[in-house]
Amino acid sequence: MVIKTRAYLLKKTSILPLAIFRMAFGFLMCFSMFRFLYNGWIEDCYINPSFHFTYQFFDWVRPFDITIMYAIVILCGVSALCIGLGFLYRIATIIFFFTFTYLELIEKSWYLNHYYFVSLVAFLLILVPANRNYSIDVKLFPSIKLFSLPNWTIAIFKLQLAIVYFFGGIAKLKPDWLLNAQPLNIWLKTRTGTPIIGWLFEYDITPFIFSWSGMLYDLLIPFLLWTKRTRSIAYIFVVVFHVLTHVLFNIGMFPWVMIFGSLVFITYQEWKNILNYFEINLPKKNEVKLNYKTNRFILQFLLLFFVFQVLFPLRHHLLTDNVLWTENGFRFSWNVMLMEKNGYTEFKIIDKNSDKYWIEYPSNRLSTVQEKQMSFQPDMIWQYAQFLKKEYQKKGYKKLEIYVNSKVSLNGRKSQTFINANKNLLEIRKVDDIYNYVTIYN
Amino acid sequence: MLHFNKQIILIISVLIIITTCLFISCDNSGITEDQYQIEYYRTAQLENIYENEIHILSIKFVTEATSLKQKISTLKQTPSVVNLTNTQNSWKNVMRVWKQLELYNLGTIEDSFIHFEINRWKTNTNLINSYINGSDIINEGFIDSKGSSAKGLSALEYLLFSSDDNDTILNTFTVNTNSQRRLEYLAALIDDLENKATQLKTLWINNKATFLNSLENGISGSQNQLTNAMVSLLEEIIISKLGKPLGEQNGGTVIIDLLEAHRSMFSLEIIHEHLIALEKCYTGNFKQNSIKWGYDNYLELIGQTSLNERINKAFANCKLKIDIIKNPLREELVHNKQQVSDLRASITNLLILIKVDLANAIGSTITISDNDGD
Repeated sequence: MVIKTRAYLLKKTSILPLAIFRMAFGFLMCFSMFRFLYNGWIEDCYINPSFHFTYQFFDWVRPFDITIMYAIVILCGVSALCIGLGFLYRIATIIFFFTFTYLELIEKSWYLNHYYFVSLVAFLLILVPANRNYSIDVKLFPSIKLFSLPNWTIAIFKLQLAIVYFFGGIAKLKPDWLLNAQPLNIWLKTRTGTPIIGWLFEYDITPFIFSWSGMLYDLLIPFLLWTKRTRSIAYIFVVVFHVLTHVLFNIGMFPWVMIFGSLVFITYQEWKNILNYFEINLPKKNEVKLNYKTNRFILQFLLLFFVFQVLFPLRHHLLTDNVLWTENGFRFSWNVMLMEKNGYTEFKIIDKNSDKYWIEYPSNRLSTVQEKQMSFQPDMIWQYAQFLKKEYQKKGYKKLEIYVNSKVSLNGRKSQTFINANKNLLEIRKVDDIYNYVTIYN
Repeated sequence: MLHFNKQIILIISVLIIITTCLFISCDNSGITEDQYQIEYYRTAQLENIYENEIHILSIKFVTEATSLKQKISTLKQTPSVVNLTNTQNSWKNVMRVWKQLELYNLGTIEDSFIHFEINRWKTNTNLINSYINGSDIINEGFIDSKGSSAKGLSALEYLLFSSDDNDTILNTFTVNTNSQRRLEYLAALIDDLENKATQLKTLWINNKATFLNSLENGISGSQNQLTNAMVSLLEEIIISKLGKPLGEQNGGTVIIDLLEAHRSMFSLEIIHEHLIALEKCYTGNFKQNSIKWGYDNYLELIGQTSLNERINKAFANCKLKIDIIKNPLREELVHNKQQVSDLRASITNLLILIKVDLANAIGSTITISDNDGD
């Protein structure tokens, strides 16, 4: 088994699929970063909020002033462009990985699964020589040109994509998704005005069809893409599925990341056949020898990387009975489009020394996105209480207690109290302990 | 080769199926009205709100503003306590209409900032007095050029209710220093307000098609904007109109001056009018014999009957808490703070049902800015 796997990973394969993946990813990310800038999200996400919800263990990641933040986003976009062009590739991938991941880590309320995916792919791109053909680097340094690479350089991207899909499918194996067709039951009824297909969403059966087919799609598509016989039809499914999600839901770049990312499954021969239709001939491959040497530690490292990728999304099984409600272990687990969740919070601050009290409405200090996301995520509620403590301590109030009145509704159900309203949040020392005070989901 | 042909046949088959589905879906002739219920209800709800509420209120607002203008003109010509009282009552009539119309600050209207021009509180009394005591010619153009904190309904209230005693107020328009300029400021304020009321009516007429046709669920969809407008108004009542006077942001000390329209002792009535507007917006029950499509019908249609019942109960509870309060809020805050707190709690409960439960049930996006989520 080990020998077979090793042989598979070291088998010679064309660099073309990797080069196309590099170009697709680079250009898409370049567009994505300048879109971020154009939409004014640098201000919305990094500059305007006076308080940032940082990630656990990454509290030290802070935004700089507006000029530097603009420079970082532009640098990130330009490095993505360089990846696409294959220009100064190694430096570009390193810069892109660090700048993008830095930007992602600043503000938890802006967490998106595909941001995490992009960081992972960017990291993997650092490890592979995706610039050794079809690139500016090869024009500048012809001696680096390669036609073939070991199979692992492409397989790791296929595997990463397969993990996203497969765990996205596993995450849908929940009663709400399968038996109640939630949240699609809510979402599709709001899309009855969609041109051509909107009338379908008037039917009660439609969300069930979408839920089940979505789950089956996620679970099966990696295998269908990986299998030569089904690849072409699978890619058509990828395009249809993600274009549909783009039309129906507000999910930004995610569909395009997956559509372009899935190009990595298409082999050299298949590209050749496709291009032949358009009478375009690929340059002849140099089949003489493989002159790219795999570092002896790389496969062991990648094994560890993917073991982590397989285990980490499952951690919520150890942490909570209902990950949708508590969100303990929810992030970085490919829980994509699983819930419609809304919340309300108000904080009561009491100074025991003076017997004074204040009611803090999050909208007074947080951005709309921050307020919305915090209202149903326990760790963010705890973080905000810690922030309020510091703010009131600055005013000279030392003996503080903070309580939260929080109500949350999940997937169309009646709202209920979310965090124990009688618990002084300042008595909870560690962020992980807040989950002990999330109410039982009825 | 055979395998390749099979794939091609499969791909073509799938494309034919998809194309056929699309063509079938374009042919609506075989679809019954029932199949369009959700879309039909959403359209009907928006038409009902525009035709029977927004349009009617915006016309009425102009009418009441014109009426107030006439009263102020009479007061200016013949200053007397009777004419002052008539003017004060007319101001209250304008407020009653405005506090219902104020809910509909959305889309183009919101972008125009005209609501600020009409009613921004609290008003800047120092600024108003500096203008009155200055030497600039006071007319509509002068008022139009000034910031929103020195004009509109709140500025009118300050001048018309500057004391608890109407004789004292009358003196400010007749015998006190700069009394004539004070009257001129009052007249210019209503000229400006009447003009703004007309502008608002025109804005709504011009915005009608956009409002009625924005059926999508996105951030610019009208139903979504209405839900957001309801949430915004409820939050303003809770945070600013009740919370701040209750002392929720200063350690618990009651501050009467932070009540909206405390001089006219109209604060409670304002909240009452807001709740009437909110409930009508929710039920679509604007007038007799009209089609009453509202959120309640929509919730019933999508199977959320119990939520509809809870929201109706919450409205009833808010009204009950208002009815319990027998004196103006500025007195209740001093002598019976708990009843004001109870009112605030009942409105918070209503807010949660709208912001959390209703939004969750109808998939409404309670955000102002957009972000791509997944």
